Amino acid sequence: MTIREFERLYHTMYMPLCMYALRMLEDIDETDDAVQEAFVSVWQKVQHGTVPDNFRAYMYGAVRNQAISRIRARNNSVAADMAAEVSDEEMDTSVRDAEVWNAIDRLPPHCREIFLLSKRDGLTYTEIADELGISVKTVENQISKALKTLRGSLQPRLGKIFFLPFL
Amino acid sequence: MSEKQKESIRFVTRHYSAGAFKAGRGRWHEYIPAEPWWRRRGIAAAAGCVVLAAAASAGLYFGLSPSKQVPETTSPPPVVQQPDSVCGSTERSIAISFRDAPLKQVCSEIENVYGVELAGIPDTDTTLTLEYEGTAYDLVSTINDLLGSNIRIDE
Repeated sequence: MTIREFERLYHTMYMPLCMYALRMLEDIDETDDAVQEAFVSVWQKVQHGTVPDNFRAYMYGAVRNQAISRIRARNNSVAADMAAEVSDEEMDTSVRDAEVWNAIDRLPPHCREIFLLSKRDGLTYTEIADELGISVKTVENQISKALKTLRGSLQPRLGKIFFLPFL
Repeated sequence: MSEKQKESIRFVTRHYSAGAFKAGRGRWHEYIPAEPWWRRRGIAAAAGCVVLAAAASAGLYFGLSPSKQVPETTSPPPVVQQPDSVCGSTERSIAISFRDAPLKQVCSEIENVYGVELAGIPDTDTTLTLEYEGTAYDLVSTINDLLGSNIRIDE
């Protein structure tokens, strides 16, 4: 596997792997660290000539192991129901989560701010309107627009899940 | 919208932080092995050769045809990018460049920059334009290959 191939896989898989790890770790910094370390460990194996047959599953497994190490370091226990392998459904969920994250990234800043104040921070429409000095109607419109954009980002991508060029 | 999609939106929205999770260069890049020394020098030598060939052929043309009307130009002083401490080392890689500089001047600068002594410098009017980064050995070897000369480094 060449550096260029690994680089392509890194950029393709980085975000879904972060979403997968985020569901386990619930912390952004730890998640990024876990995913970066997973890529380091896999790259080192690739350098030594070990190229896994199913690279996608291998990467998810590497991230899972990194996440478990961190959970163990936190509270010295890992949930007994944590499955031994990463399921296809978990991988699909992570891809879907990545699409949502990227879609939020692409929202116009004002729209994103209003959307997050409502859906993440739990403010009411009136509270948001007061805080930003806009009308409640504007808040409604912006949130509606954001949700429409997020729904739109998921629809056409579902087909792509099956065609991702994972090894 | 399916329940799974709604759940994804809820989950991501709850954790979203602008600017987070940028792939960037990747920590694994730190573990990419450096290019082997012979490849770096080879590429540098090849690049230097291309520039030397183009310039030396122009210099030779004018040098071998003294009857040609050659516009009088003063060669600008050579530009040398060197580290703060120049030590006499044939193995030290230094950036050096010349424009329309006579071969003797080039050799003199190589001696000053690399702290070496050159011998076997031919008596010629050939001028060189080059930009090179490498060791004294590589540079002298490249000049010899190009000009068919036998300049050597006296140690």
